[in-house]
Amino acid sequence: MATCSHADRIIPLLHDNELQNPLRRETVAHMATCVTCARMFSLLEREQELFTQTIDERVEAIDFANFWQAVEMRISQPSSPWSTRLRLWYESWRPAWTFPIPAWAVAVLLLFLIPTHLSLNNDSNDSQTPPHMTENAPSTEPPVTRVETAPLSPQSPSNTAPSQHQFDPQPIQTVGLNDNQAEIESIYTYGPGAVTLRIHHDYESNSTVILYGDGTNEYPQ
Amino acid sequence: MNPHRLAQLCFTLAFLWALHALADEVELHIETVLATNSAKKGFDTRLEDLKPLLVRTFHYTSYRLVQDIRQQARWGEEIKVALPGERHMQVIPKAYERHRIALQVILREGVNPASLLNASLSFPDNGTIFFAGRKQKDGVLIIRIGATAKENEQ
Repeated sequence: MATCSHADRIIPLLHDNELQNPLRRETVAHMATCVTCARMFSLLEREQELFTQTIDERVEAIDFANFWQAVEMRISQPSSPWSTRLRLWYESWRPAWTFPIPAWAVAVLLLFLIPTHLSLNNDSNDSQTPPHMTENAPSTEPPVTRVETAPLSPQSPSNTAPSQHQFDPQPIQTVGLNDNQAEIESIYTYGPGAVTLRIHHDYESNSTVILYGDGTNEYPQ
Repeated sequence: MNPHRLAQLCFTLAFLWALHALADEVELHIETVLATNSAKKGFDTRLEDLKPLLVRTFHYTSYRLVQDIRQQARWGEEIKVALPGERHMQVIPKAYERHRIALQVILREGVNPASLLNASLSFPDNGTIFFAGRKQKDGVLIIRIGATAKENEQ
């Protein structure tokens, strides 16, 4: 049996009226000389004709005499049970449940990111709280020492000895707000023995230096 | 709005939110300098910009850059840095407000690290702060922490 490459690819499109000029004109012209394509087109037309005929016969066989009476009866009936309505609701939303894979991937990612983000925030808040402020905190570390943190000029005499107080949750002292200068909301030292703390502001570079140590001559001046 | 459109909208919003969360970052620059009174005097050439401050503030004879770390972090993410001398530092970028970056800095030391210092502070975007201490056999560690916000204010 003779074959033609147009028969399978182009002729069904022509039959469905999907081809645009000039391809449509070329295909019609080709079909006039190609027996295979002409036969394929005839077969498609016959198939369509049979299909339409079958549908029409089935529709004619349906008895619509009591159709509207049945509709009125259903309208007057009490509403369907909740299980049926739930199933109908589910069916109406079915397209939404069938998300594409990337959507599910993002949903899973969000489920992972949100708790992580929240736990990170909680961790940072927790770590800001001194150990003895937490009820069940382990008591391996000595009590918190609060240290006054007044800025010192480089030429000022050494003032490294901290004045110690019982812990007070108030912020200690704001150290400057200019340019590169840091604003210190709170600062605590811990550890065995006295931990001294000095906050030094270098006026020439406008930088803040936090010096901490054990009170010996760590910062010779 | 039909369910399919609603699903598409939810998906788009979730995707944008995820992108935003990933893009919202801060760059930390942590430099560690070892200052000592060794016989071999001098400055590490990479510390030229710091030289005047170091000379004014500390009177050691030698300054050497021993660690230089650049790290991208998300807001609230904890960055852990191991320092020389069995010390550890945790830096948590907390917020960006009024062009200032708020950080929490925790310094620990020892084999079984105990907290040494815990500071909550802020400085301008692209700014720096220094921590120095405490004495070890070779001298002191001076740590410069710089931060640059990658996004606009939260």
